[in-house]
Amino acid sequence: MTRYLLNRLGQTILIMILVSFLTFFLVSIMPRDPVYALYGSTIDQEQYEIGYKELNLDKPIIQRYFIWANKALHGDFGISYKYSTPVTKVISDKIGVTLYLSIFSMIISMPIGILLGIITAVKRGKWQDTVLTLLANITASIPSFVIAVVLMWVFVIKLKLLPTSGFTLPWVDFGKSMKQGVLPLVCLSLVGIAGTCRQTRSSMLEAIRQDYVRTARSKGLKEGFIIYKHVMRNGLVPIITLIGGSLGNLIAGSAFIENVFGIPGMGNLLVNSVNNVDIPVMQASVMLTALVVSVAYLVTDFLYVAVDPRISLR
Amino acid sequence: MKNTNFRHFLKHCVLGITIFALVLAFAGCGQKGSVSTPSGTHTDSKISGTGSANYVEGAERTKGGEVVNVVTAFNGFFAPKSQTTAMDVCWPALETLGYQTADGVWKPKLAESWEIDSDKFTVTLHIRKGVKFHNGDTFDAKDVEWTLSVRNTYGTASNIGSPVSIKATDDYTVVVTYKSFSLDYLNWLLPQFMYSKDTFDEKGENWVINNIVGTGPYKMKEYIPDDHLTYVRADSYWGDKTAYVDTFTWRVIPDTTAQVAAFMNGEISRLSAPNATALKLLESKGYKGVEAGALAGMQFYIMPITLDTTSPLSKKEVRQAIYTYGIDWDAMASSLGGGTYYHTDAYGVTGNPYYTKDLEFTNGPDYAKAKKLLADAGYPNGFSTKLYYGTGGQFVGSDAIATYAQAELAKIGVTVECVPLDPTVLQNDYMKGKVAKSGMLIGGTYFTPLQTQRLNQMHSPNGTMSGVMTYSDKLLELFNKIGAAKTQEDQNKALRDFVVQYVQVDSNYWPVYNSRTVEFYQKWTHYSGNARIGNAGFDPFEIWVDKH
Amino acid sequence: MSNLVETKNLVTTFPYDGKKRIRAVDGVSLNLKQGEIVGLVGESGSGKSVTVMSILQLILPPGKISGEVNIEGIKGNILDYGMFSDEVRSTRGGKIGMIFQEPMTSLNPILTVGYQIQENIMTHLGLKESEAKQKAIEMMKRVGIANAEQRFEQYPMQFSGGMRQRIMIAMVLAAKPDVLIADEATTALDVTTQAQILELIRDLAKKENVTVVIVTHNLGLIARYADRIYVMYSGHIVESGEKFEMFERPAHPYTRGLLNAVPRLDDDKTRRLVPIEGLPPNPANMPPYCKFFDRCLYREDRCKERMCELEPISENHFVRCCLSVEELDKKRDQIEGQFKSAPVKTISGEVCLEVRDLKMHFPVYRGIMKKHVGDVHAVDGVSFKVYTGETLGIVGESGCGKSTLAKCIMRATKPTAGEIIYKGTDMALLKDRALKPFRSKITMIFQDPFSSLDPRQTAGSIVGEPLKINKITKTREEYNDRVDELFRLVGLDPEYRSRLPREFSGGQRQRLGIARALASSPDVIICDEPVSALDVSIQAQIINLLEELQAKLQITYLFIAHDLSVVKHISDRIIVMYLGTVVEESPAELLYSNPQHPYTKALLSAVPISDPKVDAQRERIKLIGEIPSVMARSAGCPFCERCQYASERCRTEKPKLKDCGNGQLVACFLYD
Repeated sequence: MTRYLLNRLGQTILIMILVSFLTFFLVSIMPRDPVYALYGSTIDQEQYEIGYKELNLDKPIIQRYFIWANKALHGDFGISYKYSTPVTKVISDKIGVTLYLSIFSMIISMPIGILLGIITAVKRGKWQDTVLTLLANITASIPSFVIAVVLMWVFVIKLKLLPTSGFTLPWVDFGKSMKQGVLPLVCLSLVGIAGTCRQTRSSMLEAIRQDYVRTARSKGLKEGFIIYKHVMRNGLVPIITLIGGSLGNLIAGSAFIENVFGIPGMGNLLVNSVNNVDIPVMQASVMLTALVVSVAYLVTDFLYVAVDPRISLR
Repeated sequence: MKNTNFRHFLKHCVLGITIFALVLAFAGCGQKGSVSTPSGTHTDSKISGTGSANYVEGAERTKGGEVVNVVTAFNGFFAPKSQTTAMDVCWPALETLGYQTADGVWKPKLAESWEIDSDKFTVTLHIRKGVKFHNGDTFDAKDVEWTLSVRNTYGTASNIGSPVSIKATDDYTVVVTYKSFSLDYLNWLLPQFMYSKDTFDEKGENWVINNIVGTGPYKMKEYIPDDHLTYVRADSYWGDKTAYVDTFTWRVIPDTTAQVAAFMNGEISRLSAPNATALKLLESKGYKGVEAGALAGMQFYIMPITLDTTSPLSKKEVRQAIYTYGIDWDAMASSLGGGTYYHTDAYGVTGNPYYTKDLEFTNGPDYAKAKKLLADAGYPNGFSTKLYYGTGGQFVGSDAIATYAQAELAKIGVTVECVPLDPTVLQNDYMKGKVAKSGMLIGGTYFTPLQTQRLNQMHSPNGTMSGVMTYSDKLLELFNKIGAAKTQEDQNKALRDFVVQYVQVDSNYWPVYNSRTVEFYQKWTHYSGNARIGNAGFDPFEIWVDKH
Repeated sequence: MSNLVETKNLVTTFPYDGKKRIRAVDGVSLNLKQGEIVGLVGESGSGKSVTVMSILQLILPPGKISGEVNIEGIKGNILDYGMFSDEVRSTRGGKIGMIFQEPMTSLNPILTVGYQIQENIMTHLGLKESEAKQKAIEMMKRVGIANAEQRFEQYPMQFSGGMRQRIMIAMVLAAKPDVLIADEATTALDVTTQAQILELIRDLAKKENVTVVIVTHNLGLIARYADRIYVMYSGHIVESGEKFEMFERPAHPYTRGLLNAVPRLDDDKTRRLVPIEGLPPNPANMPPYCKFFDRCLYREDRCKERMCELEPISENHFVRCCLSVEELDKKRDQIEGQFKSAPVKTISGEVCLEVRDLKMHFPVYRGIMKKHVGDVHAVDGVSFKVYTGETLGIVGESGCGKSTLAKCIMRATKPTAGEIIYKGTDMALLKDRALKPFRSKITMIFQDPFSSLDPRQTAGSIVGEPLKINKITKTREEYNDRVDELFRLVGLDPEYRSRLPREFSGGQRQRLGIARALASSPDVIICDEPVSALDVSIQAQIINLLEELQAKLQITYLFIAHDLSVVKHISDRIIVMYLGTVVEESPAELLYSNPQHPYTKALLSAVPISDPKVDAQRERIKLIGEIPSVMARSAGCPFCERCQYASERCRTEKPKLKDCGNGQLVACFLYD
């Protein structure tokens, strides 16, 4: 089993290297000129030459890649074109916010989604299933920013219950943080719940059909106990994949919500950095996202081994 | 089996429709009563300077309170390399050398007095004594010299007229020398914000960009990037007056709907309507907007590329036909922007000193006449051409113009292909005439009060846009007259004649629409005089907040 | 003695196509007494599995159970209590336990084996966890699982099929039920394992005084193990009675038909199987009269008037038939006189196909680097001869290599070594292009009639494909004629050419498979378990068809199967394979009357004969352990670990096939 895990670790490192390659090259073929992006578009030719040299654009691309990669390994991702602060500071300011929101919403949405999924699977065909599945489908089809704007309309404008935007960490000002955080969290969680519910339902239904459930029934066990002990663990193995996949969404998935609710987080940073052609931030954000996704998948694989003995025995 | 499946399906349909209907009903209740769009009233576009909705004669001015503004994003403060002198958000803390009253007279601020020598082309500035920056540094001539000179390092010296030399002759005197006569010396120099050289040397550029150190009545309290910027009253202010408001805050809310929501919720004190929908919505809720930015504004225009002498657009008659009769400009303006856009035939903004009503000469479209004129010019079956526009940056909105123009021109037989381009490509290649030799392109310029500056920069024979056209002899002659004018009156007249030739006679420049900024204030936020909160007329001593 | 379980008019229905419901169990009344072994016999669609599931109320909605089920110790009709009620749940597992058919999927793969047994004990015996664990380990030992303490913590995937079934038995019996129901519990297992499991069940049941219900379609199993029998057809019990009585004097036409259709290990060469014509009943269209009417050889018009009840014809022997036993017996001679005798075939002396020292090894790779760690010797030096016109039977259990052998001879895979000589040419290592002419001469019939036909092609094009590929017919007319001829040969109406496979029944699809194999006029047809997936009554049809075709067209068959009775019936000579080698080769009758190799003896003794008197007198040779893994081969005789006669020599040296007279060849040191 350790061999399996070491294997996966090695794969992750390989992936990171490949992603860094791709990021660098893709950004370098973007149509915007990095000199103009940094200095503005109406500088004169002399200034352009200076800028050109400063950004190492006269060197061949492979060399530029290694310069960048070397610095990156030491933790130096350069200076943001827009904020004129080191990229690491820019990101570290914002990543806490995004992670707080994403993780919080995951903690909310996962258990609720799984619970709802189990309910709809067990009560298949009855009214609980119909209503919940319909709601889940509707929520999953509506884009998150539409939900965000609608909720904002209802709660902020009509009912005047909550503030429109802004973000405070809970240990700074608990009450304000809760009020500001409710709407964004609800929006983020709703989408998560819908997806998890549907996925759980289908994998639970699959598990309930299995022969060993019939065996369990023939032993005279209570139906609820059968669901809990026999079906759930089997049905939840695919859910681990789902969780792993949405872990990857932690960083960038909240871009819409952050934009609507004015939260200074990573999602907004990533999108704006592309619009503003803020190349160092772009590169660093992509690398960070790739790292988070890879680690998420790694963790998922570890979880598999823990839950399903068949994998480690193979 | 089939029956139960169908029943299931019906059940789902009914539930779905019910929920959908509920949502619609809920959403619909907010949209009571739409406001009729003001039709193209470009004749009303002259903006009155004062007339604030919130000025109550003799109202008690209370001390204290907070004024909250909103922006979609901050763009860096003292960032010489990106040419931002300072935006609306900096003037509580940063001060200029002088300020201009409504009738155009310059009054002293950080510069106590000045002299102009028209023969030697110099301006001598006398700097106020006893001024300190917020961090304790003394403000003196070396700061002025440095602030003005540093523009050379970043290639933005043209913003202050590209002076030949800037020297601090003593601690409180600075002499600026130009290479030729201009009426704009004061227009160039006095509106510049002053920064602390010592702080820059000590802390470095990256620090200064994120921390404002100025001489103004407010000092920066807190800046969280992408979140908010707060100023608090600076008790060490050099002047004897104290400002009323305790704190000024700018919050970042990137989403325009959220901005409107925040305003209606009472969370922000002032909102500049971000688009036509927001404008309508706020007006329908009973808020009264105030026109702002009369002297500064954005104009979008189309310029035909006339470098290829065989193309149809190189013929004056064709251009005139299209501009004068071929497109319904008023409809375009109101369709694209509702009440916030208006069409004018004048170059630049309509609050300018040279502007007169008779600069408007179009009177609505006449497609038949346009077609006839085109036929007379030799194109009875029309022709096809390309329309280039930029995607993003300052050119946001060009795509809508392009589509509208395409549809309009189709009515007179001109087939237009819309070509989107990256903004820098548009600016550096197409506007300089390096790529396309015929066709049209859409430009957008933000006009500052310095009309001549923009003119020189963009539309002079050496300007950016000159790349796409060849100046007629008459146009060149009129242009030179502007530079030769020795008094403001002469300059205004010369400008007017040039504009007439440019737009009406030679038809090289087709204004599409100007944008209006409409501001909304909460009931408890007041200002008087020229002291609108959002522009260079800002006077911190004329703004106060009710207790509420 | 009172009844432990009694059902009265049990009816189970399922909905289909809107409002209609099919009656899978149509009024079944049976009873179970303590300590007896009851057999429930029937084919697919008879409703036997649904009956036992209904007793336990394991039928999920929308199925509905009605009628009366009385269980000792529970007041009233247990069906009145709901499916999830406490009474019913305590009955399930506590009073009546059930073992299912698929041992591979019936255990929860992510829970330990021990826990699953423990769970049952805790639920029904109310013991604490540690006590339950002790009992569970005890039970595991009793069912014959070695190292029970360690294996308690293991997962199902670490056990073989037979082992898993033992665990199921342990699990069920640990809760000390009164009744044990084995629903086709051994159908998916090997012959020898099957015998082991059933014997285990019988022994444990006798010790604990537990009633056993064996639900199966295999008459031989019933003959050996059951005391009383119920025969079901299409949801009804058509006959019930004591075992000896039933087999000696079968009354119902269906029972008679079954016994005539099933081959027996002790048949002689001239026995001709008499199939039950027609198709199994369609539960959607049930006539209001006798359901067996369409297929009954004894039918008369008055059978259509009403539905008969189960009437006793002697003490404890009940029959559901409109005709009386005397009438049936009179008719029997009439009918059986019409049975045709077996077709005569000629076996020539020339060798059609010869296999010499054929080897097929599959390499095993492990790890990221795909290192070659070993080989699986699927076929390990097999040699035999086949004469033109004869049928060579190949028998063996799982892992013996018979399917791989078939693939090698077909050249579906390339053998690792050896020779396959067909009419003088060695095909073993020929390249594809050179093989082309041979492909039409050696064809194959596959096991699964459902998956071996392309579901998107019409029946006609499936059968005619070999004609096109081998360019046998030149014109369209020729092609159509030949296809029609083939259809008629296998007993199908050429009208069905344009139908899709899914519109045919299992037996009809197998006929299509045979027609396809015949299309290119082959000399050799390899039949790889062609009847295993079919119902008993249909098997006879297909076997007869194959025999007819052989007599008519002079085809040579290689008949591969695990059902020894069928192989013995159809083959002229038989080879017995074990772990990739041939252990014995013998003419068919001699194999049964005089088996030589210890494995053959054990194998034969494991197969029950559907005649209880005969079967009771046979010697039972028990085998130790199970079939070992195909990777772990000993240096000596492959059978040495399980053989009771194994000696030192057997463990180190491999025996070779030697002639012991009468055409028999054996590979065993006993006969050296």
